[in-house]
Amino acid sequence: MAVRQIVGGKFQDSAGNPLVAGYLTFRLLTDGYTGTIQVSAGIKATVPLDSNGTISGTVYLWPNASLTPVSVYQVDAFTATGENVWSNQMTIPAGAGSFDLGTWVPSNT
Amino acid sequence: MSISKVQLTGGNFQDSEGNVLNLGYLTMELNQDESVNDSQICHGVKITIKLNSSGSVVTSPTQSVWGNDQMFPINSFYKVAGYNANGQLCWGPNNQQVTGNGGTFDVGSWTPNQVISWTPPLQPLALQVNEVSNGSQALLDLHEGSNITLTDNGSGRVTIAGAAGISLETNEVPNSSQTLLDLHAGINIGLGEVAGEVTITNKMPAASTIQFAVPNWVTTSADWRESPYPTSGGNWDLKTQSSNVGGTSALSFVQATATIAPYWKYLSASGTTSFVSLYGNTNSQYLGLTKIFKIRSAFFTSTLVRNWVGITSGGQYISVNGFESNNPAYNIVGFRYSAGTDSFWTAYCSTNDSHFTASATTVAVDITGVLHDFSFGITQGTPGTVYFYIDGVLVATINSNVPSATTAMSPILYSESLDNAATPGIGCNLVYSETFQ
Repeated sequence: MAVRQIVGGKFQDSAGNPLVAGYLTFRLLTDGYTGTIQVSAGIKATVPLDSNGTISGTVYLWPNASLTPVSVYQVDAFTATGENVWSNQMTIPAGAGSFDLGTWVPSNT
Repeated sequence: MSISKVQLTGGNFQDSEGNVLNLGYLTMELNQDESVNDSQICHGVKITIKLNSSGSVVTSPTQSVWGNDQMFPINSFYKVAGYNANGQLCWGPNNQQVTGNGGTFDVGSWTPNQVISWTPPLQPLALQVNEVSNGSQALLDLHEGSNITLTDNGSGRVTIAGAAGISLETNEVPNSSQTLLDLHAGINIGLGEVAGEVTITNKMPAASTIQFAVPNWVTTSADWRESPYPTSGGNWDLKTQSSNVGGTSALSFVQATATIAPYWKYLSASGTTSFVSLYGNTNSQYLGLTKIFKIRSAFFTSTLVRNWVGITSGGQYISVNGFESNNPAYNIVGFRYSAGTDSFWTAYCSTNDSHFTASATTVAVDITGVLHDFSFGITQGTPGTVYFYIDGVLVATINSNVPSATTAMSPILYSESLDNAATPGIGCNLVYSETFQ
């Protein structure tokens, strides 16, 4: 198994205004490993959003299904001014190709 | 199919005097994060919807939001507040929903704090007890019953707890069943239950009087010795009687062996209706006081004989052939064996020759000369029921045609020939009575 590219998202408010230049943070809630690789939960990954509220650039993350033990990401979305406007515990599924964050249904946990 | 936002219209927000929220505004905030199409909708961003001079949503430019019924997870809503132009909170915040895919939604149709779309659909609450609707459908006020404690934790949970459970124990040891306590009466204990009240009564007789008679071992006469020793005659005044058609009867003592106790033996000569008997000449045995009456006796043949052992009011009539019948005309409580009629010893009660009850046992006549205890008794206070025992084993119960409690009777031990060839005989070493007083 390998890291998987994450794309999309289209983070916006309920009126459809995108989180222009906002950003996401990803943090594993538990340490994990895959093969001979240890994945540290203590390091938070920050991912910038573009003018459409979509992930900017190329970002790879470990799919949770690749990690042992079972894990989830704490994912938060912030406006450009740093206001936390979206917060959920989510998983990145394993699979071929990239994963569109826009397909997530928020867990609201 | 791609989902479109819904344009908000209308509202006519105003105060109670009809003054509109001229150029005021609404704020809307999702209660939770949602997704629609391929987009994430951030609940943390509060949006502003401008009102016009009529207090209605400005329609140019259009102001649109996502319909709650189009987003996931289901069952979201907006927290909506209305402000006047000065920023004074005038309406809400209230929980409201916008529904639809594209098109318009008139916020003037909102009923404050009422949801439109919910899965499953909201149902009116029904308050029932055992499937029957409560008298009040607006209030459910739980009350504690006996041995029940109700505790409200303040967060919507009510705990129902039973009082400390009952521990069923016998002599400080928990019973094998902790759900059933079925009291049973032991010997000389009475139990009665009325309306949940159990009464335990002591049925132990206050005292017993023992009366017995044994042979006069020092002689081979027909003499018997009774205790208490009477001043004249005897309490039962035991006598012997025989009728020997074909010869004379023979009286002897049988010496003890390793297997048989010594006893008095009375054999008749053969001959039809010949008999030997031991009987009481004084009727002094009352069934109402008879805790136990016993004759320890032996018999020597079961062929063509009729045997009686027990008590009767007709002992004095033996000499006039009063017992040459399967149903003598006397009060009788005892056992009968009549060859050709009875296959086994038969428990027997009668008040005369037409009112009798015979209850067959499964005990055959032992002709080996071994002694057996033939006994019967009543429960104190209920003389109408007689329990019959052979060698201490209950063999029959009779509760009809039982002599009255106050009928005076006396012992009888009797064996009669029913054929010229039969030789009846009886053996005995004890007549015993224990009374309730």
